[in-house]
Amino acid sequence: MVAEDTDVVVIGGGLLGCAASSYLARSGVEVVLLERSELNREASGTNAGSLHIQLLRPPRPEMEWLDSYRPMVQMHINAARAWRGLEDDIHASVGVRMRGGLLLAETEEQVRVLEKKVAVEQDSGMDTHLVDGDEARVLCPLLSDAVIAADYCPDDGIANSLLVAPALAQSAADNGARVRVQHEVQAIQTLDAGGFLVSTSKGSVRAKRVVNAAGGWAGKVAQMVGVQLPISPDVLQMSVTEAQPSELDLLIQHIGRRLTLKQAASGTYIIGGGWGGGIEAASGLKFPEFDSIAGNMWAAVTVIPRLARVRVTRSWAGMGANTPDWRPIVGECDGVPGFFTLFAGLGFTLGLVCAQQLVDRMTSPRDMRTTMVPKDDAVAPAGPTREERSR
Amino acid sequence: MVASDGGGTTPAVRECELLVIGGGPAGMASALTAARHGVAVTLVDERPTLGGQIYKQFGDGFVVADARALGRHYEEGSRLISAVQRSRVHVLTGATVWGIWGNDAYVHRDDAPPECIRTRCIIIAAGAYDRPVPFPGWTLPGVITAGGAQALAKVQRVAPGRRILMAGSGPLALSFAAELAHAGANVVMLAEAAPRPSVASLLRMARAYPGNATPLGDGVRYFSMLRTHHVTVRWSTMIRRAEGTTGVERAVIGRVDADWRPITGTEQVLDVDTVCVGYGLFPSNELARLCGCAHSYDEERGGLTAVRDEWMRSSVPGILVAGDGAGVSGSAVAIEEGRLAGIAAAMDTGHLATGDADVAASRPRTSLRRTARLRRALSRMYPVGAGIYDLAAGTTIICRCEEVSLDEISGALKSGVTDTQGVKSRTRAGMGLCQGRMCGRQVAAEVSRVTARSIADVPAFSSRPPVKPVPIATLAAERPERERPTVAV
Repeated sequence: MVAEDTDVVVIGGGLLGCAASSYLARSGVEVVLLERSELNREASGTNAGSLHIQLLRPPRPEMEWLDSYRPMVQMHINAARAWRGLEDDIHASVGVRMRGGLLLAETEEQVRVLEKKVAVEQDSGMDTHLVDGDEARVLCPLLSDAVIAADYCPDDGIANSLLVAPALAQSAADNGARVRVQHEVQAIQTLDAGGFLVSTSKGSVRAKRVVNAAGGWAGKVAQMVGVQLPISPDVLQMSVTEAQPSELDLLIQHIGRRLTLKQAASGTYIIGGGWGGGIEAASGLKFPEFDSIAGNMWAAVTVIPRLARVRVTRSWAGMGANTPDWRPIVGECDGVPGFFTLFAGLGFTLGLVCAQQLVDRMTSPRDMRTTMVPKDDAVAPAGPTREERSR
Repeated sequence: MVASDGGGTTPAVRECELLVIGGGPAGMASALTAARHGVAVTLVDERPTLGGQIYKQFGDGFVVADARALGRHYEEGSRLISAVQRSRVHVLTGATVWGIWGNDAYVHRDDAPPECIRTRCIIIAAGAYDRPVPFPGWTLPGVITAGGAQALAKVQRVAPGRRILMAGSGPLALSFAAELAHAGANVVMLAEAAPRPSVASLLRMARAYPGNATPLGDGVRYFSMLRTHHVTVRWSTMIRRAEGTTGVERAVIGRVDADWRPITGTEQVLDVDTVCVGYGLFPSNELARLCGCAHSYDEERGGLTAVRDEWMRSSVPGILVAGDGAGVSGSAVAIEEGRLAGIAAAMDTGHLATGDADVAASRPRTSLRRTARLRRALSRMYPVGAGIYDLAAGTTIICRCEEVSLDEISGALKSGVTDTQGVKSRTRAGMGLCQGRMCGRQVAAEVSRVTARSIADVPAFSSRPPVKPVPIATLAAERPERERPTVAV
C-alpha cells in the first residue's frame, strides 16, 4: 500500500490532539490526525468539564507539592485566557462559561492549606482570594454552613467536554487537516532519511514529524520509538443529575474531599472530583464503582444539602492519566528528533495552552529541542532523556 | 442499618440465595418454582403491586364482582399473585434495583433507606415496554401507547379518548383494540401494518395449533369482538401522522407495502381524538446489559435479546434472564422460562440435583417448544417492516426528554459522527430521564442508514447505573478516598 505523505502526524483524537491539529493547520502546516476509535472518546470526552484555573487540591498531603507546582501557575493563568478566546477563535459554541469558582474548606486544617495555596497563587500573579464561609455563601447561597472558608477564583469555569474536541477537529479539518478516525497506530518506524513511517490499522502515513497526543496511551505510543514516558493511566468516574432550574454558575471544588460540582447549561448537575472507577481487563470497558458513587454523592450533599432530593440519571467512568508530579510533558524527545510529546495530565484545563505551546515551538524557526513545561529546568520533572530510553 | 458519621446512609445488607427482579409472569413463576425447591428467594418489583403489565390489577377502591368476566389474564394473574403471597418468597414492592455489582444489587424505595441485597444468584425478569414509534405528531396529547391505554383500562377502567384509532401490528394490537372496544370505548379503526393473512400463513398457524388452543382461541375471539363492536380492520395500513394544536384532532393513515414502506396516494384522514400506538414491545434489558450479559439482535423479539443457555443462564455467571426482558415472546413463554430459570437457580444454589432438575424441567420445556411453534408462525405473519423507522419527519422530536429532532440527529451524522455514542455526545439525544429508552432505537436506525450497516450491527447506547433515576440522598454514604490504581492499557 502506498503511504500517505504529510508534514505532521498527530496521534490521538482527544482535546490535545484536536487542538494541536487545529493550531498546526491554521499555521499552514500539513497535518494528518490519527485516532484509533472515534474522536473524543476517552479522557477528553468523559471528564466533567471543569476549568480549574486556580490550583487544585494538592494530590498528596505534603504541602511541598504546592512549591513544586508553583512554576505552573503562569500556565494556569494562560489557560483562562485560552478558554475565554476559544469560541470566537474556532467559531463554535462549546459551552465555555467562566464565572468563577470556589474551592471549599470545612476544617481549620483545610483552611491552613488554602492559605498556603492562595499565597502561592497570588505570588505568581493569579487572581484568587481567600474568603470566609459567609462570603462564600454570598457568592453561592446553596452552600451549607459547614463551609468555613474558600479559595475564590473569578477565572474558574466550565466547558462542555462533549463538544470541545470535536469542534477543534472540525476547525482543523476546515483548515486542511486530514482527520482519520478508526486508524489505530500500530508501529512507528524512524526512517534513515529522516522522518517517520507511521503504520495504522488502515494503511501507513509518512511524516516529517510526529506529535504523540495519545493521553493515557501516550506511554504506549512513545515506546514505539523507544521512549519511556512517566505516565500512569487510571480510571475516573462522574455522575450527572436530572435537570434543575438554573441556580449555580460557579465551579465548586473542595480542598479536603474529592469533589467537583457544577450546573451545566442543560440544568443538570455534573458531579465528579477524582473518584476511581473500574475497568474490565479484557474489553477495556470502564464502569463506575458503587463505593465511588456513594462517596462522591456524599461529598456533594455535604456542601450543598439541597441536592439530596435531586436524582442521578447516569454515572460513567473514563480514562485519566497523570505524571508523578501532575505536570505536563510538552516538547521534542531527546534522541528522537521530530518526535514530540503532548501530554497535559490535567488535560482538560491545560489542554489548549499545552497544545498552543507545542505548536508555537514547532512552527517557530528557532531550534528548540527537549523542552519541558514550564521551561525551568530546576523544577522540571525528569524528561524522556536518552539515559531513560536506554533503560 | 449502619449510619455513618453525621448522616448519609450505608445501605443495609439483606441476604438471600436468589434475587428475582420483576414481579410479572416470568418473575413470579421463577420465584415460586425456586422457593418450592427450598431456595431463599427475594422478589422485587418497582410497581406498588405484583403482576407486571399483563396481570396488572385494579387500583385501590375497585372491587371485583366477577373475575371470570375480566378474562383469562386477570384470572391467571390473580392465581399467580396469591400463590406468591402465600409462599415463602420475600416480596419487596415499590423497589427499584438501580445497579448490580457482583453479588450485590442496590435497591431504592421512595422514602425508605437504601438497601443492598446480597445474593448468590439473580434472575432478571424485567419485562418489556411499548415500542416507541416516532411519527409526526407522536408527542401530541392524545397519542398514547397501547400499553398505556391498557393500563388505564385495567387499573382505572378508563378509556383513553372518545374516538380512538388503534394503529399497530400483531396479536397485542389486536387484543388491545378488541378489549378496548369490548370495554365500551369507541374504537374507530384498527390499522394493522401487516398484510391480510395469506392462506399459507393461516395454515402455518393451524399447524401450530396442537397445544396452542388457548392463544389461538383468543385470536379468533378478538376478531369476533371487533366485528361485534363494528370496528373496521384495515390491513397493510399504518399511521402517517397525528395532527392538532393542543391535542390530537385528526390522524392520517396510509397503506404500506410488505416492508411497511408508505404507498403514495393512499392517505386517508380520520376524525379521531386519540391514537393508540401498538407496534410491539421492547425488552427492558438495561440491567442485563449493565451486568455485561451478551445480547444478540432480533427485531421480531424487540431488538437486543439476551444470549442464554437452555436454563436461561446468561453469559455472566450467576445471572439468569427470563421472560419478555430477555426477548419479547409473551406471557405464556415468560411463565415457562421463569419456571426453567427457577429450577436452574435451585440447581445452581445446591438445592436440586442435576438429574432432578432435568426431570422438573421437562414440562416447561415441552410447553416452550409448543409455544415456540406458534411464535414462529406469528412472526412470519406479522414481521416488523423496516418502514417502522421511516415514519418520522425532519422536524419530528426523536428524543423527547432532551427535545432533539431527527434533523439534529442527521446533522450530527453528517458532521462525521458514525455511532450512537457520538450522536448522544453531540445532540444530547438519550441523555434525559429515560436514558434513551425512547429514542435509542431510532438513533441506531439513523446511524445504520448513514453508515450503511444493518441496525443489528449498530451498538446501542450503553447501559449505566443508575438504570432508573435515584435521589442523591439514597446514593450518598461516606467512603474513604482510595488511591486510584494505575491500569494497564
